[in-house]
This record gives sequence, C-alpha cells and structure tokens, in this order.
Amino acid sequence: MNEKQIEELFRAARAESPPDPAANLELNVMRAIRSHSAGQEPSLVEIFASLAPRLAAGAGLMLALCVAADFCLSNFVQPDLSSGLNQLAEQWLFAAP
Amino acid sequence: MSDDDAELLARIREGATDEFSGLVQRHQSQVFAILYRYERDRHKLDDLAQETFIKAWRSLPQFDGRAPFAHWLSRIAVNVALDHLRKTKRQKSEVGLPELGEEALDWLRNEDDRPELESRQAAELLALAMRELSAAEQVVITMQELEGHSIKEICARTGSSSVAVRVRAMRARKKLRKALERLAEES
Repeated sequence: MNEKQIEELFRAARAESPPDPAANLELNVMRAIRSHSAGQEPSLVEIFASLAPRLAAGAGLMLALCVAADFCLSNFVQPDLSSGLNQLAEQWLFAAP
Repeated sequence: MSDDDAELLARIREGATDEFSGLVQRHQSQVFAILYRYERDRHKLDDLAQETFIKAWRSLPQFDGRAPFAHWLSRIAVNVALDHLRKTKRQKSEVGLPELGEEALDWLRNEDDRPELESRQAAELLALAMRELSAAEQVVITMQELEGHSIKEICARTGSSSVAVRVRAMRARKKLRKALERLAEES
C-alpha cells in the first residue's frame, strides 16, 4: 500500500455526503432541554434563596404576634408576670413576722 | 457570527428558550456532517447529534460570541465524537472484514491495478481501518484528510498544540497504512 493509494482512498471517501438529519431531531433536542431544565436539582443556595421571602414573612408575623400578645396582656390582663413577681417579693419582704 | 445567529442567541439569553430550536434547525446538517465521519450507524448518529446540541445548550452561557457560533458548535461536536470514539474503542478494537462490501474487498485484493472506489465503500473501508487508531489520532486524520482542515484549524477545534497535532497526524497515517495492509492480506 503506497501513499498514492491511500490518497486515492481519502479522495473517494471525502466525496461521500452525510445522511439527512433526523426529521425529529429538533423536537427531541427541545424535549430533552425542557425535561433537563424541569428536572434539575436545585443547589442549597437556590433552595435558601427561594425560601428566604417566606422565612422573612414568617419571622415578621411571629414578631407582630408577640408584640400584640404583650400589648394585650399588659393592658387587659392584670397583673402581668413581672408585676406579679414584684408584688410577691414585696409581700414576703415586708410581711410582719 | 451571522446576524441571524446573533439575533436568536440574544432572544435565548432574554429567556426565549424555544428559540434554540431555530439554531438546531440551522446547524443540524453541519453537526451531522462532522459526526458522520466518526459514526456511521444511523441511530448512534442521531444520539450523538442530540448530545451535541444539548451540550451546546448547557454551555451557552460560556459562549462569548467572539468566534462564529458554527465554529463553537463544531468544536463541541468534535469533542462529542472524541468521547464517543474513546468509549467505543474499549468495546471494539479488532478490525474485521465482514462489514465491507465486495467493491472494497476487490480494491484491497488488487495490489497493482486497483479499481476506482465508490465514495461510500471508501468511507467504510477507512472507518474499518481507523479502528486501529486511537480516538485522538482518528480525529486528527479525519479533520486533516477528510474535512480538509489546516493544522492551525485542527489546533483551534481540538484544543491541542501544533506539535501534538503534527505527531498524531504522522502516527495516524502510519497506523492507517499498516491497518490497510493487514486488511489486504486478510481479504
């Protein structure tokens, strides 16, 4: 086998035309891309980023509830825990023996 | 980069995912032509073409638009072909004759007066002989001899150095000749 014969082989092979692409190639590619995008597992940062607004809203609601509860207890329910404790301490200290 | 490609890419970057189908439509023949040099089985060829476009989609954020999209895509196709050759190399390393047509066998048998070989038969014979080459050698010799790329272009598309490409091309030619001679003896 000499160089000329190998060149002939290359020349003949070069002339071969490829088959036509599959008719549904484009559809298959797009389907795979969509399923890949939909099925992609989110990272820890992405999970936190998506949860952050809900966590912030939850924390805000909790704060508001606490403030409201404190306001109600201190204004409408007497005595509150701290004043009750003070009262007990005073009674015990100054109680006549 | 063509204006149409740039326009489609800009729309994809703005979130219009479906516009990628336009790029697939436009470049599928080019991708098929590249991959067909490395894989002749129709089903596998379809799978490789699909893999090329999916990889291109995933790497799209890294495409900076300095080179034409077609060049960038062809580089991905070559890498997909290279990976495929490495995988198949492990499965089938022996050169066998039964897959060849009668015309190719005649060409191998007649040492002095070889008949003109039809392009399909020549490509099949070459594909068979190329199984003796490493994946990287196959890519280099295919790009150089069948696609007509220069050393510089091969370097750009494979990411290899000029010296590595030249050495691979030389080795590939040598191995190819040996493989063809062996096939001629066996035929």
